[in-house]
Amino acid sequence: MSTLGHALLLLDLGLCLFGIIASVHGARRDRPDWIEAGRRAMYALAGLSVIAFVLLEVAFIRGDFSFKVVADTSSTTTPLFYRLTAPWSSQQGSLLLWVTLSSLWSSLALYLTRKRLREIVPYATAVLLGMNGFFVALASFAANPFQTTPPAVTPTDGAGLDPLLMHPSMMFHPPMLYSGYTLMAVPFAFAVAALITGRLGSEWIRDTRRFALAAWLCLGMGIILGARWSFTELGWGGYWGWDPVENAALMPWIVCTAFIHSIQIQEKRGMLKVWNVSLVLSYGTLAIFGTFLVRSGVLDSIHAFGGSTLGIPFVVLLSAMVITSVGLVVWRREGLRSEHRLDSLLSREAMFLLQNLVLVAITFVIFWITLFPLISLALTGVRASVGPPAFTPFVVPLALVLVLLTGVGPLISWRRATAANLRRHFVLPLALGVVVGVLTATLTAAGRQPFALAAFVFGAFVIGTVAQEFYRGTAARRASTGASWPHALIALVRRNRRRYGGYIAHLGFAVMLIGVAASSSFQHARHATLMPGQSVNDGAYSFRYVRPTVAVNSERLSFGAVIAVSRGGKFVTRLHTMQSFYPSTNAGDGFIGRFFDSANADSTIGLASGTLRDIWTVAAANLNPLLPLIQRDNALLTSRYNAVVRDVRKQVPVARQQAAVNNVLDRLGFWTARDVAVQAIAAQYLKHRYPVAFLVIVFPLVGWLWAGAAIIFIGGLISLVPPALLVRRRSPATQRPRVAARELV
Amino acid sequence: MDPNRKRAIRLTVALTAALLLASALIYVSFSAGRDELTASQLLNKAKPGGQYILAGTVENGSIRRQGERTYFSVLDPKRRIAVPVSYTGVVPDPFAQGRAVMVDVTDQGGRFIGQQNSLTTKCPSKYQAASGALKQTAGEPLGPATVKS
Repeated sequence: MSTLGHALLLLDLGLCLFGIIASVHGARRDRPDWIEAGRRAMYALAGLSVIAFVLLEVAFIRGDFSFKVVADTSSTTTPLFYRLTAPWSSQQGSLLLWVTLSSLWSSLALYLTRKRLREIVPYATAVLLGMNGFFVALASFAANPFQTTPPAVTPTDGAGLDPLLMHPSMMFHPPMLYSGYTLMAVPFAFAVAALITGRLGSEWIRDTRRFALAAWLCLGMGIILGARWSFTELGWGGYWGWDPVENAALMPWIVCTAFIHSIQIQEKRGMLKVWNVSLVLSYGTLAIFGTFLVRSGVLDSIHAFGGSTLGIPFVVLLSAMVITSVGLVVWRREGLRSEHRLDSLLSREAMFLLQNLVLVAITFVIFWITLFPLISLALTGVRASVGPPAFTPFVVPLALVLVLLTGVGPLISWRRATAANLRRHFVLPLALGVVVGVLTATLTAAGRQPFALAAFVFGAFVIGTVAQEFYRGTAARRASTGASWPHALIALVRRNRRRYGGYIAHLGFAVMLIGVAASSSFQHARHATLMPGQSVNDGAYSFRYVRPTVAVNSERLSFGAVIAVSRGGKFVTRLHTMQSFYPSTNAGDGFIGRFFDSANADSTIGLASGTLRDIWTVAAANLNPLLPLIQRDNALLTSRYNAVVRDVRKQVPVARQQAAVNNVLDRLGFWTARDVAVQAIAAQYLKHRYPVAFLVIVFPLVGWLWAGAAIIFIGGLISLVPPALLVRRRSPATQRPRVAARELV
Repeated sequence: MDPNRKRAIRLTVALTAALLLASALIYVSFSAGRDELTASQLLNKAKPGGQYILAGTVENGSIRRQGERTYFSVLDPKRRIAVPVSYTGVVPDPFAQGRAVMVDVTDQGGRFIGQQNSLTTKCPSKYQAASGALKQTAGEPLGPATVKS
């Protein structure tokens, strides 16, 4: 099976090379048959990559430990769900996933454009095949997922998937991120092709806009799923830690956000062509830069693959992308000139442009601070880091400007806004913002946190603008059709999904920003070491360590704590947090110690989520009192085992000794005795009254962050879904002009 | 106003804003930046009261827990030098011997005190398995990995 898998990868590489040659040859010689061959090479690449990926999945499901990657990242005790996710927990498997997703998205793009963009598509095909070929080459020669070990040293069991990765998010978070990254390659390839051919109209943008939106949606959801996962783990820095790899995913997403907005100016006014094509090329390059950071080990990140040797190939690819992009834009600068100029700073296009500049500024800040250790090393010879606090003074004010523009941009008139236009659209939302500001400043601690207060005011302003637009649009629809409010609202959204999907996404962004501002500015965290019965206060809440807990099952031993939370003397909730220990494969731990190895442990947080606050707790199991028992039973079992081995060696030929030892151990009930000893030691945890270290955190409004993300997701989906799925009937001919005029973006 | 003049003013304002942002960024980076040091670099540079970022690998057998305090040593990636660190609070789940960590430390008269919440360890999806580590399970020296309850 491994031979077949590797052969498929080599075949993939051949297809990429053939497809590139066929596409370019077809374009230069105007040969449709060669162009079609190039396109079919992409379809074939997708098909073979899927087969290769299925082969790897089958190896994981069967527990075929002759595959090195299977032995390294799964074991016989790994549940099936996590065996399915284990392929992308390794460098090798994740490269294959990248190729599979990338070839599938590329095939979809080429299929949808098979009768369009005849001059651009062949070059786009070549670029897409080139990028796919790069990753296929890495998977074929540098990090082969089908590498096997000789039968003589094939282990009977694998190392297992790290307990921290046994989380439902493992099924969705990496594939969503990879989908986002790989979808970004599609607009990038079409942009390069448009520049090569000089076909610089809006057609290629129109045909790939949906891919940009899908990339933005997938990458955004991947980031949020990662944030949620990180929030529920101990030691991953909360929902956001400004880790280099987190930043690497955020940067292309921000630039893509800028593009999704600025493209409207090109479509409406024929402006910002250079800017838009530069944004497409930038987020395409930043997507590769993100995976470079993960796989090169160039920066210290909790998410970077250790000991990776893939840095040089990625530097070559990134250099090629940057040089090609800059060269093409400079070469085609004449064809990219704007058809109109900015009429007024008080116009929608000016607001969109300002919003774009703010987004690019945020990206630059993140880029600079993330890469500062390398910049510092190059300039001063010392690797220096500024850490997460350096982001706040730059990103927070820029984000506040951004949220304000989120409210203003969609409502202000094109070309030039009048005083009447401003009054009509902004008086009520501004009043809402002021009221919320006054209330939060007087009734809460927000008055002492100006940035948080500004976030609440601007967030309320945006929510007001969106609510007002929905109300006015629905009322206008009711007036013209006589439909009920719910029907008018649904019809309104159906008729102009892009506009109202965008409004919903803006609403989600405002809700999310309020959640981020509150949870980061007003969170209370407290470390405390408690004996059973003792309490600690954190903000307005009191936490009492009620009792320790122990749970033993076939996968793990769990040591936990029950905590009672109260506020002002009133019971709020009871939380259970625990630390689970999975058996290690480290022989040095001993027969008993392997079940208590903290290197193979993970924590389950005690979490009480609510609309206004989340209460988060974790306890580090204190196993110190159990250590003498573990050492005693380790020594006992080791001496019994050694005695058995000595006896067997005297009586049995070398070739059969291992099997004979196993038989004798089974007959003597050695493993049963071990299990009894493990359970007895674990049970002792309930009896000891040693102190346990706790971390308790109260996050105000953090649920708004997840709710905001869900709203953005819904808005994005509404904008993304093809019109045919949403619009069943056209408006009666008599109503069409009025409705269209009202809903014009 | 002449449209060209208007355009020039807008461009000047935008460039000035960009220049100010870039200058502030460069200033903050270089003034607030702290050196990321290996164990041997830290021992050479550390001064009492100084704050540093220590990066390296947790030395095998060095982890010791006493109450809420965790003691461990961070090994230099290239040399056989380790710096002992005293850290208070809950450590991240992936924290274990042999794993790459970064921690903010303060030199308190030759003792290095880890700053609470500053200890970070690598995401477990990115560990590279040591070659041959699995051979130990080929025989049966450890027995089944499940406890029958």
